Amino acid sequence: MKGHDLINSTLPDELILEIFRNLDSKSTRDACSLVCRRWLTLDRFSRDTIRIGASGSPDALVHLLARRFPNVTNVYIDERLSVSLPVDFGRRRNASHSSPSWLRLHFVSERSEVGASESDSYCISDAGLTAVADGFSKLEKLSLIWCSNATSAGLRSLAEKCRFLKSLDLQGCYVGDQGLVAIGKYCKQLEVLNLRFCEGLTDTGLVELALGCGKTLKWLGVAACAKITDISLEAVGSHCRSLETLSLDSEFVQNEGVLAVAKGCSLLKNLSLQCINVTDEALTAVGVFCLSLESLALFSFQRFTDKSLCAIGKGCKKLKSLMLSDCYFLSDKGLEAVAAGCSELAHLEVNGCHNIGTYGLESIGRACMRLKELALLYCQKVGDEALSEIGKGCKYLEALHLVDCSIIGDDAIYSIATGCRNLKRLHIRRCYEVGSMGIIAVGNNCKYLTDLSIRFCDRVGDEALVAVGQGCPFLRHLNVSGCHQIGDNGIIAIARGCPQLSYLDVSVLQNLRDIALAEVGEGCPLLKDIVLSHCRQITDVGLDHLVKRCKLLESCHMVYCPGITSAGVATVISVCTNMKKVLIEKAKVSERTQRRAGSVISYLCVDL
Amino acid sequence: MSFSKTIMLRNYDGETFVVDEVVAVEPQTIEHMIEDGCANTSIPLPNITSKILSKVIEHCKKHVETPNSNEKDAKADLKSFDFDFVKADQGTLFDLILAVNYLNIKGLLDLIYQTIADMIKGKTPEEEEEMRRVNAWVFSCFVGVTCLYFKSKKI
Repeated sequence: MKGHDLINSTLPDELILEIFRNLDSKSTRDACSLVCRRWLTLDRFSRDTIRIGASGSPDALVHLLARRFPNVTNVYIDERLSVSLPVDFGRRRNASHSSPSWLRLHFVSERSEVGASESDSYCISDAGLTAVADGFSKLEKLSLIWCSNATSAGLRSLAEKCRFLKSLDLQGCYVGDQGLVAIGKYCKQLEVLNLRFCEGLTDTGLVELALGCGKTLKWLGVAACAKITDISLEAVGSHCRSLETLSLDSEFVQNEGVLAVAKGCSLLKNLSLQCINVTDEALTAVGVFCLSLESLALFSFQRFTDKSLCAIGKGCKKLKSLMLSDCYFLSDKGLEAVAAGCSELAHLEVNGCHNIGTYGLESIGRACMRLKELALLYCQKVGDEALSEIGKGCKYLEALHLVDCSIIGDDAIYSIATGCRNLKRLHIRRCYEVGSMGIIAVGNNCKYLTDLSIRFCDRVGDEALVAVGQGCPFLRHLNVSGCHQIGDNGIIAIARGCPQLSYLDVSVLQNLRDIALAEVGEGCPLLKDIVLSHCRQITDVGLDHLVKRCKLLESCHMVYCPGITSAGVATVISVCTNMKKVLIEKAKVSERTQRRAGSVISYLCVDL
Repeated sequence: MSFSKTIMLRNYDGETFVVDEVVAVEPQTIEHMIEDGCANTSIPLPNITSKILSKVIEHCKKHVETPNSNEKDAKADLKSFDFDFVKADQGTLFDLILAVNYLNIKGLLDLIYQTIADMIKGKTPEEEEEMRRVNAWVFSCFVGVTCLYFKSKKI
């Protein structure tokens, strides 16, 4: 096999391209392009997505990228992110070139635009947008995030050339109405439009866009755009008949706007509202007109009462997902109406709705057999009986999240474990009544469990983890941060029973010692992320054993561990070739370690 | 008494494989040939060796035999079969991919693409070259954004 080239002599281009299609990370594709000329060419012509951060002379960068990757269809420009570039553009790199500081930009000045000021040149200009349009004629998705120098003129020239544009995402750009008008005029296949923090846009722009390409628009998001009001939404309701998703976050939208969309866009499937001035009237209309609605999310909806939830329950029979966040006036009655009407409900999240209690959840358990995911956050009034009904009725439940539900205890977890055998993900945080008994039941019954997170539940002890180690061989993600009673025995049981573990967080466990880490190293070779912060008894010895066995480790957080020294940190850096992030106190990083791997080390902000 | 129809496949080595029709139609290419009425004697597969063809038939048989239920155990069993199936040496794997591409068996094709992709993932260009084994090549540096690997350079 050695010395014999198999791939290039056996496989034709199409098959190599198919294989490349299965490579999801940019770094892997970049590596492939460096292997040989053939792979370089194949990668060049098959690369479809590029992401550009804030870079020196972005306009020139776009030219170069367009030359190299002519078939790109998705371009994401996010100027919040600074991108590291090699010091010299286009010159060969020296072998002796040591790892530069990747945190800041360096750029050789002779390449920057003539006349552009130092700071301006980091942001893409209209000329740059024109270059995008010229270079990527097949552009389908464009995302401009905090591109402060882009204006309508740039967007206009882009619209004129990229007629196949399907998705446009503008966040924090000062583009004016004329840009949107141009999009509406030329991009007749637009399906997705997302506008966030676009202070320059007013109703004029959006109305013209709706008139121009509203027919194809399927997804619309408007957030924090102060000058977009009901007028735009009325135009959307009139012209965007194919709209399937609407996401609104605005205090300037009133009932009229939402009503217009509800009446006009009967195909609406997904609706997300964070508009404090919208009341029952609008949402009742949604219940009456949007009979295809599949998902509904209501945030900070202070004026909304059970009346509209009843209308939703009555009309939206296809509802699959419901998310209620901080909806103070909603009570059990409303939830009961949804349960009665929406038997397809698969996903329910109740967050901080203080008037929803046990009874509402019980009715969900009795009526919604297809429930797959349930999340209860800050539900102080929901008790064990609710989860008991869920356990009885929702056999297909896969995920359960409980945060700050102070009266939920072992009985509830026991009912869920015995009733929902397909449970895959269980997250419990700060539910102080939950103890070992409930988790033991999970270990005994839920063999398909992949994610378990029990944070700050200080009644859970080692016996719970022993049961999980015995019963859940597919466990991948474990977080027991803050469960003070858990010690070596529990973690060792997990290490021995869960070979697929890839994420482990044992932070704040005071009783955990090196032997547990050594066992994890032995038993969990696929471990990628570990959090050891605040483990007072862990020392370099345990860390050593762990990192030498877990070759795939990518991240390691170990702040506030007095037993770990700079020697331990140095070992981690030298042994773990895949390491991407180490969180540690600055004092524990020697100069040599800093030189070797400065880019992956993050420091704790507080000086210790 | 029911008796299932069988199909004869004749391959590159001249060998004939007799398979149940229900297994033979897993590969779309063969299914189309049967539909078009070319399967009266035996279906010729001149570019596939016996070793590879028997592996492919083994895979098709397993997937046809396993009932298409949502049963967790059946799915897990199939998954572990697939996992072992692709544990072949690289030579076999690449011959397999050509055969499966020709026969057009989508599920198996995706499995093999993913397997080879997994072999490539996470490697440096040097390691990938090991996989590929090419001698010297000259590559001129392009755009910085796309060339993030600086570890040990061959240039």
